[in-house]
Amino acid sequence: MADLVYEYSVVVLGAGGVGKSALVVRYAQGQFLSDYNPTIEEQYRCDVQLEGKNCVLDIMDTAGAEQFTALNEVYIKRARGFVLVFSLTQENTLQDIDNIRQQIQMIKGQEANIPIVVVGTKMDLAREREVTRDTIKELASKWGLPFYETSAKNNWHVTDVFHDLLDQMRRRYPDEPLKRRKQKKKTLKGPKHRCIIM
Amino acid sequence: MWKERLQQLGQRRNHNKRGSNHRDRNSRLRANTTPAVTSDDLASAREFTIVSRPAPPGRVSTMDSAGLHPIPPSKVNLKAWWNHFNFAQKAKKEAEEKKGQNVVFGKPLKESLRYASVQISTANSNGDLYVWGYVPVVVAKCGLYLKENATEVQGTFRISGSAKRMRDLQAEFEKPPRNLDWKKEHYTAHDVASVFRRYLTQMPEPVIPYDMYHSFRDALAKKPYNQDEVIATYKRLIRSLPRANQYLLLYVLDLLHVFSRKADKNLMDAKNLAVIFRPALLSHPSHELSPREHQLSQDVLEFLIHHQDWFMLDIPPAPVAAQSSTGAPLSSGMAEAVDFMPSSDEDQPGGWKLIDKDTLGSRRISRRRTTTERSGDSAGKGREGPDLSPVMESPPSRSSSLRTATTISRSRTLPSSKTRLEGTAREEERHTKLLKKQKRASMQQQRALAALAPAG
Repeated sequence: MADLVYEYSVVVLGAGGVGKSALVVRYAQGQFLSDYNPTIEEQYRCDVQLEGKNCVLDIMDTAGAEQFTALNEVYIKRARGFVLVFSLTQENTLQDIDNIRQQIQMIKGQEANIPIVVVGTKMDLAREREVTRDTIKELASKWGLPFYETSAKNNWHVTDVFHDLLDQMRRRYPDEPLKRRKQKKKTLKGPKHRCIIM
Repeated sequence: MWKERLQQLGQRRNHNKRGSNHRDRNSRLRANTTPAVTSDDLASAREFTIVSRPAPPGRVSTMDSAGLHPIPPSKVNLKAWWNHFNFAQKAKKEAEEKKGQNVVFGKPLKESLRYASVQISTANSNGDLYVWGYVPVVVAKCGLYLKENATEVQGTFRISGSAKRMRDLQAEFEKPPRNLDWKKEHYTAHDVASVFRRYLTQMPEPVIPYDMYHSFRDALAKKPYNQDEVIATYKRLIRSLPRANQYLLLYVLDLLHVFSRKADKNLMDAKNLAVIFRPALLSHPSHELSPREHQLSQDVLEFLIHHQDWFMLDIPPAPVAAQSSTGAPLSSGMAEAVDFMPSSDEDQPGGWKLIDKDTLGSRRISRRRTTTERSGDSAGKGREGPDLSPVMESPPSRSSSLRTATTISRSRTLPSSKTRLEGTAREEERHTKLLKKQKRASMQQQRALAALAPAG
């Protein structure tokens, strides 16, 4: 049983510059990404122990800006779970989330309980904050989705995001993505980040 | 009064012309060879007004009883009515289509240039101002705003603006007069940058057309490369682009270069900008879904942004005589030659053209067509005031004079069809005079102004 792992593919979506990569890198590598480079596409694999079971999160970090949306459809089809990221300091990025949310629903059909977590970033920039707690509460109940306020810089609630999602995926797809791990040694070494472009 | 009527006429022609693209193309082709097209066009315009209310044959009898023209229904009659009916229906449909026709987002570059373009001028090595091309209004307006206001804003082009404000801004550009005054608006740098980016991305084809995609990539595919050779290759490639694309590419590269130079403030270095602008500038459907192919395109763009100076200077300098006339941008000849360019870039391989007598006849007509096509809003703008300032990258002292020149040349392009033919000869004369004069005193703008004033 030890060489059996539950593998879940996750895609991180959201407008440009909201901090998707910072969130993922904080979770996968435990550091704050201070570079300012727009992502094209990057893939991260993370090992997680959940309820005594080995899980692998296959996280796809994507390009945010609207001109890259051609790829979104592919990502959405491929993924099991979704992290929708907006910036707490930029209210209009919520609009992008809403669009993506609807796109997911369209692509996944009327499939119920699609594992989704909505994440507000840059919580540490309290002075620049534009999205109020009330707005978030309202949207959370309207969309029926869990919201998290995070800071990749200060490592606030970042892990919660991914574990909530993993939890949802475990419930939604209880036995399904059961894969035999072949490169066991390689991936067990710890969170290893691999950029498929370079 | 006279002017008003002409404008009405112009508008009607316009309306009629926009009708079917097919017809449009035909008449444009003819426009280059024979002056007959104008009267032809006018005739059909008249026809259109008459035909727009066709009486069905059934009603002829009622007219009969009313003592009007007693026309017995016949086969010929019926056929004529049917033709008229068809024509009217078509015209109606076209009028409806026309409503959404002047939109510029998502339109091919050439088409959007026809609806709304702005001339770009720059100074050459002698410090003379010359107009080197045309770019879409959206690009010019947003570009100018961004250069002035956004170069120190973090993440310009990367961070998206407000969806609602972007929609509003886009809507303002979609319909004439498209000459919004930024000072009166409430748009942020990110709104404007996103609309700028969106305009380029929504073009059906990237700024570097699909058929040049691989050539642009191949030039940088081999590593290590010899920088000078690569620059030479790109010079050649850029020169082989359609002129409209060439202008736009150079304009965008120049803008991005400005931003990359301030990357310490805005965080958008050439590499980042290349990522953001790859879909708009250098992309191909076959590679769109395979991100690993994007790297090379980004490298190409990064290279082009870094070395854009080389391509910029490579715009063919104005020939001697024209240069003198560009030195004084008031020259009507120059303004017209430039007016002429955007819609006919295909059949104009060279850069600067002198206005000579031989081509003057046909040129005048084609230019006329061009102006009509763009009159959708350019003429309107000319009338509404001096707010339509071409994007100036030039000494401000000259800007006002250039603006005048534009207005003059535009208002003069609405003569009646009858006076036009004899007018051509007269203007021809005046052109040669002007050119001679400018040769003599090229730098004396005031004199050129004086020479123009009685004509305008």
